[in-house]
Amino acid sequence: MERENYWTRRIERRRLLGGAGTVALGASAWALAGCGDDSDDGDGGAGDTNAGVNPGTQTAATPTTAGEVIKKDGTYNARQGAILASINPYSGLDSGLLWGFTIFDHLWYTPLDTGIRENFLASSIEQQDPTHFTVKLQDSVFHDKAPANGRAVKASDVKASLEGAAKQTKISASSWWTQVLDRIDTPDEKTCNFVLKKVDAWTFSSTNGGSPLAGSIIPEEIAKDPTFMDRDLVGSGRFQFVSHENGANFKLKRNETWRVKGEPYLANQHYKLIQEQAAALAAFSAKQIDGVGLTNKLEREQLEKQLGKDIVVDSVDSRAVWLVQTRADGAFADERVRRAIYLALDRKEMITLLALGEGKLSGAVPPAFGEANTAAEVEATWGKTDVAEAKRLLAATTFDISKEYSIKYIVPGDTYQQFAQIVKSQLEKNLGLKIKLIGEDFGKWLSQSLYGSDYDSFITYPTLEYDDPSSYIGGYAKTIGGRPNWAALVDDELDGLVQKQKEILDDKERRTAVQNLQKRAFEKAVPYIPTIIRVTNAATWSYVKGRVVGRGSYGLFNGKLYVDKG
Amino acid sequence: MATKTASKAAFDWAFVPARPGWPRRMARLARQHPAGLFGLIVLVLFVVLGLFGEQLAPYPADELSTGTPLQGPSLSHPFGLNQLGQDVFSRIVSGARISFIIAFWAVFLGAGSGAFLGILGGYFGRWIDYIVQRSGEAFAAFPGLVLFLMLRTAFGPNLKTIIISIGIGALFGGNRILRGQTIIERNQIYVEAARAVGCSEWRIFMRHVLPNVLPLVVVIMSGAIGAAILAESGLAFLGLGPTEASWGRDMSGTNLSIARTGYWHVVVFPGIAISLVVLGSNLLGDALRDIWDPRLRK
Repeated sequence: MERENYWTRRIERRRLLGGAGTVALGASAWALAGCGDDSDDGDGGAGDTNAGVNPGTQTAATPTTAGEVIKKDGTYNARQGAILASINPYSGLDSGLLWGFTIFDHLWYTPLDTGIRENFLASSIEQQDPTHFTVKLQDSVFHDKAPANGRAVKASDVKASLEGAAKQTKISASSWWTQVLDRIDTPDEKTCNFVLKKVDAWTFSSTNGGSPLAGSIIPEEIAKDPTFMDRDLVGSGRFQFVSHENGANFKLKRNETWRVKGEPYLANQHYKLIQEQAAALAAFSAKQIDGVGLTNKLEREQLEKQLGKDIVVDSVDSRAVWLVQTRADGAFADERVRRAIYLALDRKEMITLLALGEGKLSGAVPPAFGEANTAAEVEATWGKTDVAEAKRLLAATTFDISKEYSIKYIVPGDTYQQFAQIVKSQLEKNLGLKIKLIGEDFGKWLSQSLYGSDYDSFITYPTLEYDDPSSYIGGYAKTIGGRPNWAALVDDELDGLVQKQKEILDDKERRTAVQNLQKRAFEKAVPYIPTIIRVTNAATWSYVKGRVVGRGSYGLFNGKLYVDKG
Repeated sequence: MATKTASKAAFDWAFVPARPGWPRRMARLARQHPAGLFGLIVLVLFVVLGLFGEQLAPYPADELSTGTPLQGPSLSHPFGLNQLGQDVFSRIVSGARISFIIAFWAVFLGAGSGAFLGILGGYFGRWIDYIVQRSGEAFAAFPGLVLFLMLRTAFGPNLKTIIISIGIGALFGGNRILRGQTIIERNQIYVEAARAVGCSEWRIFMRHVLPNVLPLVVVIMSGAIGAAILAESGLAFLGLGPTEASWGRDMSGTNLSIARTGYWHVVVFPGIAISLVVLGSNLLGDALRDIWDPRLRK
């Protein structure tokens, strides 16, 4: 939530989800993206329809085993959920992510499961001090297309790409790009010296410096005139852009000069525009597409029953936390009022109703991360329901329960409304509040209600899915992306803790700091109330081999995927 | 006096068949138009549910966990439960209110105003007719969904926006039929006769022409009820409908994906409700047309 353009990203993301959501390689995951079509829930959860196979904590279901004959040159057919407004990766999250995982290369990436940076184009990264580090580049060439025409990737390309991306507004890079990254010096063609304005321990995370969007390496000529990418795409990634039909039905082919020799195994990736979930399921059953995101566990069960062992279904924890956001001022300034709300929410009922029983309690940082509080801790803190205590606490305050309060939520999107409905019912039933539901179009909801704090009592939504945990705790700072705290939370201690953890470079120490920060936030009954996460389901035909799951978006940078139809 | 008495005695009223009372007349009409009777019953039921549905429903429409989520039809929940454990029967009974409000106001404001403008244009002709007809053509060229999205952007996603947009869509629906009928009536001999005895144009319009085209207005409006309910359902299906419990909303979104996995009851019953009301309004409209149009009388 610390992202400057957090929800602007969400707008674009919704297009990806509801729309462009492509099944990148069908192999691994949307990490920054969730996807959602029928349900529009945006958590990449049960409502996902466009994700190929989602990230998770499992090991690969169909790994490439030793001695297995790898069948190269196959074509992976993926679903495209909706038409992209533009192929330019700087025009939105949908195109940015899609090409970021395929056409463009990156310096490094930090997988979700380990949290440890892995070098991509960077052959080495040396950090001289907390605000300076040097990246040495491997040998790599751009695709053999104008204007790069297969030339070598140079440090000046990296500088132009990353500094250029930091200025892009539509891709909504995280605040790291504008508030932490100062400049990149290029003493020679293979060296990039990064200079930061301030210390940020999350510099290498995949929502900051390791972003598949803003971190894409683009030829200098194009980076200086990004409008070129409205027409064509040239990168140095595993795949080369071949064609599209007005923002749909993309065709990519293997980059024969990819810096990792012998990869990618796949010869082609084809994206097929299938907007309706029912049509996507039919296309999957007919093997016209090789992977499909499933809306809920019922679809998963049905598909498993129909196709049995011929498919592999991945069910993994979403990293979108369903939040009930109240205020830290006005009628909710008293901590006891907020505590009463915490205790009046029945998260287990939420899991039963919203996630059809497939979900987990969540603290501020979702359980997928090592920085999350343990399940037992969450159960005893954020997840606790005690209606009697809630009533007692509320009665001890001057809170006016005869007044009508409101919950603002996003429309359209059935799941947003369902969640708001559940929260409303629980607060009415358990605390005797009177609550009115107000559905707002996303633009207004975002700009006025959330950013502008224009809500009098509650606002409900799922967070984005991030590959790093820092994004989830940014809401406790006094300012969020330069704006006053959305929930009017002004707490010096919490603000200090948020800033401090960014300066802890030791991973273990920082992890502990983030865990403690969440506990302290709970003790102070912050107005951001995490409730549950859902489970994402996605199916892939078992002839798709070499998939990588459980590593967040990292799985999408997989060159070892192949199709073995026998 | 004597003459008067004699003339009275000369006519035997017993030979004149007494006009049957309205119950018998209604019964006869019902026998002649069973489909129309069915439509009338459905619409009356719809209106009753629209007005008193919330009070009649066994559970509040939005009450969660009234039983096991997605439980099928049973004695305690005749139409089963949806994902949130809400009673589908109660939601249909309560949801009639939204459909009724939208249909009533959209038809009253849209089809009603449109009908009046059509008749006005048909009778007075000239610039009034020109303006009405050209406006209708302009609206016909403008996609209804785009208009709705514009209004939604301007006024937000609420019930009024839906009513206004459906109402505007209905404005010029039966307009031309009524205009044509009015032109026919305007040229009838009784109009010329009225004009000959010095009636003003406005009086002729109000007292003679309007009553003669009014049955057609009722027919058109009854059809418009069904169209308005379908329009609301269509918007709800696209996720643009009302936020309250409504039949269209219950047939879309998550319910639809759940229904595909075998829990048919979550969408079938709201669908039946919509179909019945649309069918009922059309059948009633047809019957009224048959009753009021002398050319169609048996």
